[in-house]
Amino acid sequence: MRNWITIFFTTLTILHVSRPLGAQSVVQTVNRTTTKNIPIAPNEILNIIGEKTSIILTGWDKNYIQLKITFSATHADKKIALQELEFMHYSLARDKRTIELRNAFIFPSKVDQIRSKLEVLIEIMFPSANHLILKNKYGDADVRNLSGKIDGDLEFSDLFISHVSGEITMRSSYSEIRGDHILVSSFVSEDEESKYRLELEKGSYLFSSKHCDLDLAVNDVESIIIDATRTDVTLHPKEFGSCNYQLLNKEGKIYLPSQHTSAIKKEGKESSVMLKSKPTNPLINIKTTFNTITIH
Amino acid sequence: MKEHLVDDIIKTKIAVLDNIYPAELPAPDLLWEMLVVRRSQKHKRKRILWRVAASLLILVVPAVVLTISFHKTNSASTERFSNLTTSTPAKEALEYISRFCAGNNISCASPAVRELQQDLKESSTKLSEINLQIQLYGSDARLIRAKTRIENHQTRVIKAIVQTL
Repeated sequence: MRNWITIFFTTLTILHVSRPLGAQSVVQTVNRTTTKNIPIAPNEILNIIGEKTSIILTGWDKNYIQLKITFSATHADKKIALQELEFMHYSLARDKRTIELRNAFIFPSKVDQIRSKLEVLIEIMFPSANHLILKNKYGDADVRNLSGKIDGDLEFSDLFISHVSGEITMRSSYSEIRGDHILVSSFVSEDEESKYRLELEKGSYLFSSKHCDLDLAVNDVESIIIDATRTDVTLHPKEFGSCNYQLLNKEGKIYLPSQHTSAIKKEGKESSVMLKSKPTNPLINIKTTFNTITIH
Repeated sequence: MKEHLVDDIIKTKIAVLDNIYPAELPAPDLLWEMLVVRRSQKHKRKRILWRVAASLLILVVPAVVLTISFHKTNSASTERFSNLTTSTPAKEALEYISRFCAGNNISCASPAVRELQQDLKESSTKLSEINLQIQLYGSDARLIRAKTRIENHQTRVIKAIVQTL
């Protein structure tokens, strides 16, 4: 009898201790993958409309789109994962000059909660000179090696862009946009509650920002114009003297390298800086309110 | 003297009983043996029953304990996510703003404060939308990230309103 009691309490102790490990129950992942090659003419547009999607798009020199979509569902019960895998769909449609790729989650009316972890991954090889429209909500995207026009519309999404030239227009809210090797001809952005971390190599930039955080490394740009409210702006020019500055901050502060702080003028609640080293220098024109402008 | 008398009476009675032991029954020695065997079988049955009960206890109780703790963990995490609408300091700040502006203070009518309040209202609408998504998809990492961004934004806006008043 004593032996049985000992065994009972020993088992209970072991199970209690192993509870954290036991909590990581084995999960099953099921996938469904579709691969397609889609011919596209040079003047045609790819319009991607994503929701809770990871998008990896890379430019190449071929004249067709290579598309791979992977739907995944993960759950401890494979039956549930397989059932909910069927809730994920995509559509591919051609209308005049536009190829539209869209993903969607479609549930039967009786379903009020999804039990699996659902993921959508879209991988695209895309002709680098073609026009891309990218809309993404609650997702993330990685876009590289494009030289054509890019139109982005992001909501609660992250975007990384690298080795891009051409023209970029961006609209974003509650998003984070990071990028390097940006050699665009023009970059126009309208954003709110978003964060930008960009390395600007070339081109003209216009930001209309509200409640944002802009952190820009500046190389051989032509101009940067920031018209913002309640936005922190931080600029890292390769050399302070390589740009001309027109800065205005209402109700906020301006920070310059220590040897240039005397250039900051204060009138009431406004701080301003007007610095022109050389007429040929690119112009950095920044207006914001309440937050800070920092030039390193 | 009396004790001897009692002893004699007992011995006489035993002798009488011995004489009337039924002939069809097994010998007394064998009877004792049978009784001893039956007694040991009864003990064996009891031991088996105890063993089965102990085994069930070992299996069932840990299972119940684990199930209860699993449910507690799940409901705790759901509770944690559902309570993330506004932090306590932000709630206190909102209450402060309401009390302050209830007296029709001139600062509350300024364009800056009105704009920020409108901002807060719009972000609350987006927050409701995301909460519905979280109810549907569970604690999806992207949706939680989206919710955090709105809440951080709301905290900044509330701070800006308080600083302006």
